[in-house]
Amino acid sequence: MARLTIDGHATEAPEGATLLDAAAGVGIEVPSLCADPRLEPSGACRLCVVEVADAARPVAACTTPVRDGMVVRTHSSALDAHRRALLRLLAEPYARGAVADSPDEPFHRLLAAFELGDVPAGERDAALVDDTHPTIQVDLSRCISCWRCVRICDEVQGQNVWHIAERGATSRIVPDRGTTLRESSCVACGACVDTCPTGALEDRPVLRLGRPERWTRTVCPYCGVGCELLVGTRAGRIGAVVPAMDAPVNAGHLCVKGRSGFGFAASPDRLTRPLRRRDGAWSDCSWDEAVAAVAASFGRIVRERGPTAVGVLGSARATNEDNYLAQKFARVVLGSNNVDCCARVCHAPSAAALFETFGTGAATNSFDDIEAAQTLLVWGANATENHPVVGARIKQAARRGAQLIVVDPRRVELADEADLHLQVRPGTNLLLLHAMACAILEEGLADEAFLAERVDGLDEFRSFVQRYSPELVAADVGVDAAAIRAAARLYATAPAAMSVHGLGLTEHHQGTAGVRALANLALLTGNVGRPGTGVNPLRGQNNVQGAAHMGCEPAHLPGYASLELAAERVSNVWDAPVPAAPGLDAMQMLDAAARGDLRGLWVIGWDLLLTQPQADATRRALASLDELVVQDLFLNETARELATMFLPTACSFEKDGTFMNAERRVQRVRRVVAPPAGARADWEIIGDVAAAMGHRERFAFADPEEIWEEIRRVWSPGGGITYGRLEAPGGLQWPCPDEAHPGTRLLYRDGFPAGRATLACVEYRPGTEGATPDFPFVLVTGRDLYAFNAGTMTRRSDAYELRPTDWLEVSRADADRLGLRNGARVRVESRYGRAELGAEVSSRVPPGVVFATFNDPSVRLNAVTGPHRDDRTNTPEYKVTAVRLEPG
Amino acid sequence: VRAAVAEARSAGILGRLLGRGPSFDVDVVDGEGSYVCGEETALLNALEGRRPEVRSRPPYPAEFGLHGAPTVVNNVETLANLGWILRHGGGEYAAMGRAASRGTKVVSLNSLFRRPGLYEVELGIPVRAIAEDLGGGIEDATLRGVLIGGPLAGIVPTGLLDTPFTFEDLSDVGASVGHGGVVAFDEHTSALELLHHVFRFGAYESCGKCTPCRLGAARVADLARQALPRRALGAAADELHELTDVLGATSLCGHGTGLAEFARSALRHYPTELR
Repeated sequence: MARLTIDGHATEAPEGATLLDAAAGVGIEVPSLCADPRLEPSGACRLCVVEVADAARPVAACTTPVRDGMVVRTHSSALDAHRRALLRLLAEPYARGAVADSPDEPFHRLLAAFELGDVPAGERDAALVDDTHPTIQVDLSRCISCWRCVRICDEVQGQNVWHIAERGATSRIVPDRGTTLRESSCVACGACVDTCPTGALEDRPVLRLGRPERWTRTVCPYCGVGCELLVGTRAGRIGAVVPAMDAPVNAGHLCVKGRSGFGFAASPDRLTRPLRRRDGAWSDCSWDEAVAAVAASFGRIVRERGPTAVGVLGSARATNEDNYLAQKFARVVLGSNNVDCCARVCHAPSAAALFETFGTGAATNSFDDIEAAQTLLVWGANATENHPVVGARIKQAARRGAQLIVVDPRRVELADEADLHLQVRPGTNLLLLHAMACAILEEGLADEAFLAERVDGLDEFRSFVQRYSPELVAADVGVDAAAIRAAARLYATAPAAMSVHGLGLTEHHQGTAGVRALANLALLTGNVGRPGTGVNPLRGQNNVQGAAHMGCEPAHLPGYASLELAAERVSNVWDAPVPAAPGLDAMQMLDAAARGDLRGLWVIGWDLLLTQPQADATRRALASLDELVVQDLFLNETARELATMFLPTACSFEKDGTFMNAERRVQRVRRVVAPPAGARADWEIIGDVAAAMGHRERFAFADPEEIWEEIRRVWSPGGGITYGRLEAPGGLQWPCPDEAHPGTRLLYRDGFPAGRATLACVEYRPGTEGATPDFPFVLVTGRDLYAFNAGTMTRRSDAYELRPTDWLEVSRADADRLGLRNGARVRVESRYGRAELGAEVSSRVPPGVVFATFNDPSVRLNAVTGPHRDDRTNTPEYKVTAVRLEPG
Repeated sequence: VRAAVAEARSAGILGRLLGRGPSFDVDVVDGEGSYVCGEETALLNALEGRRPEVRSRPPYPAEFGLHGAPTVVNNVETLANLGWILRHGGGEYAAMGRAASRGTKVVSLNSLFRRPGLYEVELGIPVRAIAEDLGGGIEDATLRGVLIGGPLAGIVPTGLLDTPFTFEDLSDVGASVGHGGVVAFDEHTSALELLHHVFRFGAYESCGKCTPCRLGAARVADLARQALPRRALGAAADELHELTDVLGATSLCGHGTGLAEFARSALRHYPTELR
C-alpha cells in the first residue's frame, strides 16, 4: 500500500493503483473523458491532469501510479484553467445543440460544469452521420476523439472494428472495412456505444424511443452465460439495455443479443388473450375459460388413459420458479413423471456425463477461470457467436498468451486465435478424445499423483485407449496424428488447463460418451479442482441449467436428485406423493404421441416444430395429440400449426424470479415492465390450472419468492440462497447449503462426492450418417451470432436484419463442383426430408461438410435432420446428417 | 547501417551463435517518414504494426517496450558513438565537452547557411562557431536567429549566439540541443511567420492522441495564419498565451511540450512581433 495525500486527505492505495483510482477512493472526482475502468489507461484527453508536489509539470491522474509519500492537488486555478482550455478546444467544433439534446452525457456534464455549454458551434453535417447499421448510429459531429470506442473494441470485444484514420486534428474513427459500420466487421456488441462519452455512438432505440428514465437490474434472456443487465425504460417501455459494470460474469460487457435483442417484448404480434382452436379455427377465450378447458382436458385424459398419457415440457427461457412449478404440476397434479425441458436437446449429455464422472451434473469451474488457465481447450463450441461474452474473454486470454486449442469441423472465429485448430470430421469426437488420452499416457504426461489419489480404473483405461492411438485414428478423424499429439501435449503440460464445450460435443449418438471422454482428459492430467481447470459446458439458453435442475427431467427431482433417492424427502415437502413410475423424456413423449400413447402435452416456451429434428415426424406426432397446449409469447410455429390451446405468457423482463447460468450461478430476474395486459407469468398460469384441478393449496404462492422458499426446502445444496442474498452482484453459485455459505466457485477442491472418480472406457461406434454416394455431404446445424435458436425473440428485435434468414455454408470447392454461386438457392435433402435455402460460399467449412442455422420458419431446416439420438440421454444428433445438395 | 550490419554478420558477430554466447541480431526497419516516430513509444507502436501514437508512461520502455518486452531505445547517432568509445575509451570521449554535456553531437545546418549540411561538433563550442565558422554565415541577408534542436524547441536570437552549445546553457536561454537541427532564419521571416510555420508543421505531425497537441497545435497554426495578413495577433494573443500554457503543462509527449517551448521562446525573444 502507498500512503499519499490528495487535496489534504491522507489515504492509502494499493500498488499499481492510479491517482485517478486513489482520488475516487476519497470521493474526489477528477474530470476525465478517456478513462473507463474496462480499459487500460490511455492518458489521451489530459483533463485529469493533477499537480504532484516536486513534479515539474502536471501529470495525468489516469496514467500515474500512486507512490508512497505523494502529495497531490487535483484542483487549482491553473489546473482548472487548463481543463477549461482543453474543453473549449473540444467544444468549439462540436455539434451545436447536442448538449441540450442529451445533457447527461459525461462530456456534456463537464461542459456545463465549466460553463462552456453554449460554446459548441459545429454543423450537424448529415455527411458525418452513419445510420446504416440497425443497432448503432454513428454521428461524428459529436466525436471528441477520446478513442474509447477504438480501445474497447480492441481490449474488450477483441474485434478491432474501429480504426483511426488521418492524423492530428483531422484524425477520426473509421470502420475497418468499407465506409459504413454496416459494411464493417462489427459484431454489434455495443461496447463502443457503452463507453462513448458523448453520444457520437448511440443505440438506435434510444434515438427512436428517447432516453430511458429508469433502470432495472436483471439477467439477460438469451444464452447461458448469464450477463447482468440494466434495462432502461421510458413510459413503461424498454428502450435500452446496458451491461452491469459490477457483474462478475460480464463486467460491463454484452453481446448484440443482450444489448439489442429486447424489441420482441414490445412486438405488435405479442398475444394477450388465450386462444382455443375449435374446428380448425382459433377463437379468443377468457383466462377463466382457458384454465377450465386445460384442467378439464388434462383431467379427462388422466382419468381415461392414466397419467402416462400426459406430459409437460418446461422452458429454458422461463425462471427457476416457473420450471419448478411446471414439474411439480406434472408430478403432483397429473401424477406423471412425464416432464422434461430442452436440456434434452442440448446438454443433457453433459449433465449426465459430469454427474457420472465427478458427482455433479454441472460445470466444475467458473468463467473467471478462463483468465487463470494457461491452456484453453474449446470443443465443439462456437463461443464468440453463441456465448459471445465468454467468447470475447477466451479471445482476450489467447491474445494475452494462453494456449488455445479449438476442436471444431468449422473454422469458427476462435480458430483464428488458436494455437491449434483440429478440424475434426463430424461424428468422430470420441475417437479424437481417446487418441488424446492415448497420447497423454504414452508420452508420460499424465498426473500420476492425482491419479493415484483420486482416480480409479487407470490400468483398464490404459489398455483400452491403446487401440485409439493418434496414428491409428488420424485418418478417420481427419486430423494429423502430429496435431493430435500436439494438442494432447498443450493440454497435459499446462500448469492449469481448462476445457469448455458446446453442442458440437453433445449432439451426437455418443454425446454422453464424448463428454465422459473429455472428463477423462481432465482426470488424467489432474485438471480438476483447481483454478483455471475443469470441464465446463457452455449452456445454450439463459436458464437451461436451471430448468433441468428444478426437476424438469423425468428421472430427476429438483437438484438433479434421482427420483428414487429423493422421492420421500420431496413428497414430505409437497405433502403429496411423487409418482414412482418412470417418466418419458421429451423425445420419448413425441414417440409416445406418434404411437397414440401420449394424448395431452403442455409445452412452455419451446417451439418444437421448428427445433426438433425430423420436423415431419414431429408434426405427425403432435398432430395426433388430443390436447396440445402451447404457452409462449408468440404464436410460434408449433402453436400456429398444431396447438389446440394457446396461452400468452409474460417474458422474463416482465416478472420476478431467478435464472441459473452455466457456472451454477443463481441470479435475480427482476420485473422491468408490466406484461402486456392479458399475458400472465408462467407460474401464475400453472398455479391456476393446478387449482382448477383440485390442488389450490399446494400451488398457493403469492409471488416467485414464495416458490423459491419452497425450492430451498426441497433442494438442500441451494438452501443458503435467498432472494435477499441475491441482491448482491452475481448472485450465488451453488452448492450454497446455508445462509452463511459464500457459494462455490470451484467444485472438487478437496475430492469428489463419491470419493474417487473413474475413467470411462466407452468404445467408439461409428454413426450411420456417414457420407454415401447418394448423400455425399454431412450437414452440421447450429446457431449464429444474430439469430438465437428458433429466432422467436431475435427475429422480432433490432439486429434481425443483420441476418434475416438461414444460409447453408458450402466450401468453395464443393460450390464450384456443384456450380453454386454465393447467394444461389440450394436444396438440401436427407433420408428424412428436404429444405431449400440460400448458399453461402464459405471458407469456414471444409469440403464435404455444410452448415446451417435453423431459425427461419420459411426454411424449416429441421425437416432435414434425422432420428439418431445419444445412446444415453436421447439427445438428438443434430450435428451429423448425411445430405445431398442440388441447385434450387 | 545496413552495410555495417552485413559486415558484422559476415564477421560472425550477429545471428544465432550456437554455443558461443548469447545470440544477437540486428534488423533494420525503414521508417515511413513519420516525425512523431522520433518519440520512442510511438516508434515502438509503429514497429508493432500499430498506429504510431505515443504511449503514456509509466510503464517505461525499459520495463514494457516492444511487444511488451523490456526495451532499450537509442538513436543511431548514439550507437554510432560506441565504436569510437570502444576504440579510444570512455575517458577520452568524456574528456570532450563541457560541464555535464560531454562528448560530441551531430548538428544539421539548413540551406540558408553558406555551407549547409551535417557536422559533428564537440559539445560546448559556442553556437556562433557553428553558425559562422562551420556554416559560413548566411548569404546576403541579416541573420535573425537560429532554431536549435527544433523545430519544436527554442530560438537562439543573434544576440545570444555566444551561448555554448550544451544542454544546460541552451536550456538557460529557453532552447535545447534536441536532435541537433540548426535552422537559420533571416529578416525575410517574421516571428509570426515562424510561429505559423512551426505550428502548421507541429499540427500536421501530431499523432492526434492527446487533446492539447491534436487540437491546440492546429488552433495556434490557425490563429497565426489568420494574423499573417494583419502582421499582428491582436485579440488572438491571449489565446496564444493560454494555449502555450496548456500545451506545455498537459501534453502527453515532447511533441506538444516542444511546441510550447518554441512558442514561449518566440514570445520571449520577439515579443513585439507577437502582439
